[in-house]
Amino acid sequence: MKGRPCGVFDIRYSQDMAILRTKTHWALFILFLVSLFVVPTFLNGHILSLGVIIGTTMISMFGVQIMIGYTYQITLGHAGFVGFGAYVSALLMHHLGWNFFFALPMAGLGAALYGLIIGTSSLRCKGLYMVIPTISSHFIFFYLANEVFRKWTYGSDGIECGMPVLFGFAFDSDLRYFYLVAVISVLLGIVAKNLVRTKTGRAFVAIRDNDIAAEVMGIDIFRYKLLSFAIGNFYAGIGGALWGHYVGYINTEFFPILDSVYYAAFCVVGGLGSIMGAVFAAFFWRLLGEGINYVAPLLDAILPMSAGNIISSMGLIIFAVLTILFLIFEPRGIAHRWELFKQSYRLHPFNY
Amino acid sequence: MERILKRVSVVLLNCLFFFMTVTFVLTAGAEKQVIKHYGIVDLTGPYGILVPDVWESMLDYYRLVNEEGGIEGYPVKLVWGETGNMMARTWSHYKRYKRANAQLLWLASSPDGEALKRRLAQDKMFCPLNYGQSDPQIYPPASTYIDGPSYGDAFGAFLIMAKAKWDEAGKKGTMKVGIIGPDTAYGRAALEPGQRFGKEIGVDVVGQEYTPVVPIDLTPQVLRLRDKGVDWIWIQGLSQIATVFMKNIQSLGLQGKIGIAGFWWVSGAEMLRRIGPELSEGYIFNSYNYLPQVEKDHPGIKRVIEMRQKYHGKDPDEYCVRGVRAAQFVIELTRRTLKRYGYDGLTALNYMSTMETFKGWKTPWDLGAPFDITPNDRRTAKKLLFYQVKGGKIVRYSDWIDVPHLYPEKMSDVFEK
Repeated sequence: MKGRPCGVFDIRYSQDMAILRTKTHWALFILFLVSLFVVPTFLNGHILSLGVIIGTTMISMFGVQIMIGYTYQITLGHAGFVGFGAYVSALLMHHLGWNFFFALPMAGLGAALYGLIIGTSSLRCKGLYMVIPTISSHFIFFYLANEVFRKWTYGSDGIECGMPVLFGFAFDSDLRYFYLVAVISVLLGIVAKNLVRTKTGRAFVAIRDNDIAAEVMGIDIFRYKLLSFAIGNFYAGIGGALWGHYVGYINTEFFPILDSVYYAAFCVVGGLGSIMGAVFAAFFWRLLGEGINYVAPLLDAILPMSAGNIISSMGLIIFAVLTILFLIFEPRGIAHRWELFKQSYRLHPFNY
Repeated sequence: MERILKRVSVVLLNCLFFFMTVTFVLTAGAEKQVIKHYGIVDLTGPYGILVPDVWESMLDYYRLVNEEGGIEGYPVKLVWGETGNMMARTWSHYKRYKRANAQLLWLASSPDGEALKRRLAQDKMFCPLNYGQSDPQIYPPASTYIDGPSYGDAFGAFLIMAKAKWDEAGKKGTMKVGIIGPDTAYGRAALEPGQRFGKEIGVDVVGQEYTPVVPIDLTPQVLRLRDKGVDWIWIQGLSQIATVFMKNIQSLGLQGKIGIAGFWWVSGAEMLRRIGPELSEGYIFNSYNYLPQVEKDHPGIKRVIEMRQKYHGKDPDEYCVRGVRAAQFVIELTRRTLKRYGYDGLTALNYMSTMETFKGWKTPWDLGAPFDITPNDRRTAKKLLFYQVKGGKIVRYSDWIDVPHLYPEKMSDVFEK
């Protein structure tokens, strides 16, 4: 009964397994869904655009969470996988005239396949050493896009990404695209949340906690590590494709290696081993980025004639300081704070 | 320890909140009848190595204009945002400016120009100048213009200059030129037009060696170019690449044996600052504006020095002159548009139509050669000067050289030759 709201009892196994357990949960979830579709109609293009950016980041971040947070397959090449998905979708639409809604799953599958190939290195590497093959995967992606498939990708000149159209309905405005991203984010979030509660998810966690013990228990660790790579990068591919088609154009410079570092770092800030952690990570990263967009011009307004000096770096400094402070005071991430809040709500009115 | 850290963080956050509040109070309520320009710039990403001085000088010139009464009595404000070269942040700024009904948007990097090209045209927003001069963003013409010639054209001007020197020296055989640069749109910008133009004028552009954006060693690339028997190597990359490249050239004993040249973002002054006179010796580069290190007595350069001293108490570098030149152009464009269409007529389309009134125009301080703008030619400089590092100093290497217009072959049916 630990962790249940006061007076809530499970009498069936299905109740024990349910994500939404109480009427309050259901009410809040329905309210959330209604808000998700009503509130945007009152928002301007800039905020909606931010919403799209957060949504696509969140989908990619689910992938990082599955790989790092659940299986401890550290990846510093996630931006490459995101880019890979974006390119697959763009190429299918540009050259073969596919509809976006067929190209999108292929983007995920393409990135998953690429992840599987890179993931084979997990047979020999584990933990921090996985940084080496995953970083390499980033450069391989650049090489593939800029050199090997240059004839189709147009190399560093970039490629146009078509607009999603479904039965004649074009997702050609910020609001429409926001809805598209919102639906896919929620669906993929639910899938990720359920995935980590399945046999597969538990195998991931067992590998993360102690791979030798997991193997002794009969878990095929290589298979599950590969599966983790495939699923994690499927998410990356979907996130990348959605981002690419939103901007309408991609080239390899859109997916810098620094973004891979941010994916890993903000996953820690959001909270490792928690799907909500990925949600928080996406919000924290993109909202912080949005905040620091204003810092340099604001400081230039206060201290004129210094835009080119330290002021231009203030945004980055604040970015770094806030992240460091967060890691000092809440190393288990924002998701841990969220858990504490929920616990306190469940115990209310008792403080024990 | 934790308590101290907590206190420090609380103080820092309070300071940040205080500064933001003060700024908001200071800047609120002053929005009436102000001409607004918008800008997106990378000051902390990979272009942070070049752009801060350009941007700062541009802002200085806006201040100077306002101190002198604005444009036809209207104050002019540049609303700008920094991106760190992160596309999500560029996008966010763009959306914010679009919402604010921005008509004129400055850009300061090739990736931003390439990414926003279609969107700018679609949203009827106008970019009078982008400091990133990669060719893909201007062909086919949309609503983006660039500061200076394109990178492809600049390489063409170099080929003209080098071929002329080759012929003057009475050298026989075909001159061979190799390119070194990153595998990005701007890094590749010289290759295709260069090879095409090289054939026309009898120069063999043997190909390009690709580098990381921030390399550690370029020995293999240098050796491959040497083995191709190049007489010149053109650097189509930023100073992170050029400095490493020059070190490798010296360590391989090729300094002075192969001519080395580059474009305006890797000036000789930049090389002297970063790797010193010995390694920079002989390096040739071009510029579409005069250099304060060389033309100190030029009246326009004196004005730039005066302005830089006034606002910052230090001398300008070549980037400052570039920033002032560009700002003068945009301010003049605004003045002309204002005169033609009035305050309410400061729209993207009116700005664009006014661009074509620039015929044989020199900036007010005469910081570069005169230029024309036509519907098919959106470059704001058509001539280049070449300079060289000699004995630890920068000297003129050529007079103004006409820049060829090497738009992509596929554009030839769009443009009138």
